[in-house]
Amino acid sequence: MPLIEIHNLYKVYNPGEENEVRALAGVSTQIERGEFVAVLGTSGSGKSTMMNILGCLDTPSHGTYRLGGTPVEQLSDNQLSKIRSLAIGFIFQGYNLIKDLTALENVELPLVYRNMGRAKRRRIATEALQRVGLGDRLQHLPSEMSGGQQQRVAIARAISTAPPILMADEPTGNLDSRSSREIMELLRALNRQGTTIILITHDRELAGYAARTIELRDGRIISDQPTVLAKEGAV
Amino acid sequence: MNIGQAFSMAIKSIRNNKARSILTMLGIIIGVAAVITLVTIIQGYQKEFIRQVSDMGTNVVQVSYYYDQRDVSRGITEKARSMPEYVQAMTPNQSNWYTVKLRDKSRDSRIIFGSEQYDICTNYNIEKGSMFTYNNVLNADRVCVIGQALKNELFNFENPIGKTVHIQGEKFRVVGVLEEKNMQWGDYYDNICIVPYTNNRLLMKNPSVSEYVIQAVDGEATKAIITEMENYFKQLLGRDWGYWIYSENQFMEFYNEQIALMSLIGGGIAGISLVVGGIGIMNIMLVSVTERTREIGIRKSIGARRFDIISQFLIESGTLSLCGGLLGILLGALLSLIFGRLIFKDLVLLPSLFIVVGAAGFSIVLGMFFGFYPANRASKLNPIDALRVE
Repeated sequence: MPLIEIHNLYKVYNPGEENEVRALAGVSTQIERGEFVAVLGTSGSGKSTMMNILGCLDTPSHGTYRLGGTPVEQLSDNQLSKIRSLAIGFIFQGYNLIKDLTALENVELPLVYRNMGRAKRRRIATEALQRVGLGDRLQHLPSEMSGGQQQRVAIARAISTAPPILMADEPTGNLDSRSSREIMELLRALNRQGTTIILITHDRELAGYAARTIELRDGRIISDQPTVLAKEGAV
Repeated sequence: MNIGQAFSMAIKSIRNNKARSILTMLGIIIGVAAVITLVTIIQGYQKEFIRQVSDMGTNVVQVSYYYDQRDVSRGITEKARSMPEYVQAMTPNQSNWYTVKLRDKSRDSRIIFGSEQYDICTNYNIEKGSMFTYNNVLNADRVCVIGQALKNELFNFENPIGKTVHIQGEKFRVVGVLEEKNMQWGDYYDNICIVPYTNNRLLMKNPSVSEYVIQAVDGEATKAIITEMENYFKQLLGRDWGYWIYSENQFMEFYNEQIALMSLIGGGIAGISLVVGGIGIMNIMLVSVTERTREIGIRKSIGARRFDIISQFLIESGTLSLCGGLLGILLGALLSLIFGRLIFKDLVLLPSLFIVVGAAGFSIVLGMFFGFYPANRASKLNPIDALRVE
């Protein structure tokens, strides 16, 4: 059974009106456990909409989406929250850390929503920050860290719950090339440890870190193939 | 949602917006302070009143008989003694002004014709010696108990016990001295001389004893005594006039109703400012939700349920309001002290524990009530839209 299975997925904004937008127009694909998939596309191609739906932040207009065999397209707000809490970690372009919380507190937050006890979540969050190389920045506020460090805090937050799926939406969009490389290496390392990673990007070069690239244009998949590097056995 | 976490977030957010938080709290502070001060002052009046009344004795029934010149003292006494479950003590309370003499000194005093229980019924304490006895009353012995003012006038520093004074030319032996009453009306209550009421024929031209005081065991008993005595007189006289039965408790009940009404009106008016304060909280929470739309989006994307978001904002508005409430309690206590000092002579006025706890609890509820709309709105935000906000 594939981990993610979408079939004929549509997302239509303002249906029936003059400014109707078909962000997704019949997308079908499958993603297996442990894959590292890049979803490539220009702005307006529908890649963000796809990530929102795959990340259970949004529901499709029609079509089916099975996550680990469970249909999720008709779930309630609370049920989607639960799936996000248990199955998915997000890494955003803008880091999306809460500015009043320290690195440690930010990383603890998903564990708080899992009703984990204070001591346990502190330990797990500390470990997650150590894994991304920020063991010495636990008590720093986001404003006291560089962009690369903030993104690593965001990654620590995403992996603190050990989710089977990581969703990364332009994770290096705000970073210099050195930090970008570090972040991508971190993602690749996580993938090697078994986490399924879905990378949303407009950057063909970044997509090269993934083993498989799905290219979107105008809400449709125009290509879906193993990455060149992967073909050469480099990944 | 972890309450401790939400609480520390709330404190953080209040501290990060100090000026705004204090301005928002101001409504609650003023409202709580107003309610507390008003209620405490009203309770002060009540305390002062009860204190004055209880100096006269509480749960007391006064009985007057004015139908004719008959001497009904025996009948009334027997009637009262027949219901010991209600009556703690009873005494005639007839008084007349006579001159009391000791050697060359004299003073016009109130001579009270009472029973051996006069001190109990009218709330006097014995300083020296004792009250005269039941046997003194039965035998119409010529003994007396004198008040402080009379004692000072006649005896100065001399020990009056066992000495003889002259009333209307008759000799009375002093057996006891009363403690000072120290009431507001000069020495009226201290310039007295109590004699067994059976001396009425000896001292008074008009011998009938028509005034009585009955000390009830408690407030409920006063009602029963009033009913019983009314029945007694109706039976005795065959009509329902010619006597008068009265208890302070009746007046106290009326007075308490008035006080309760005043509290309600005063508290209600002050309560309006609390509602205004609550609306202030709602307003600032709406601003806070708008400002933190992105934070809400982040929280939802990492697994927060609607309930988690609602409880976070409710705890925040409750905490904000509680802080205001606590400051309001302090201010209210201060104002109560100041006003209490100005209004009452020797009553230290402070809010009761009940009011303090009530005000604190009410602030939390108020904050949560007015915080619910913003919190609910926050929880309904779509995570994608919320994340898109810069």
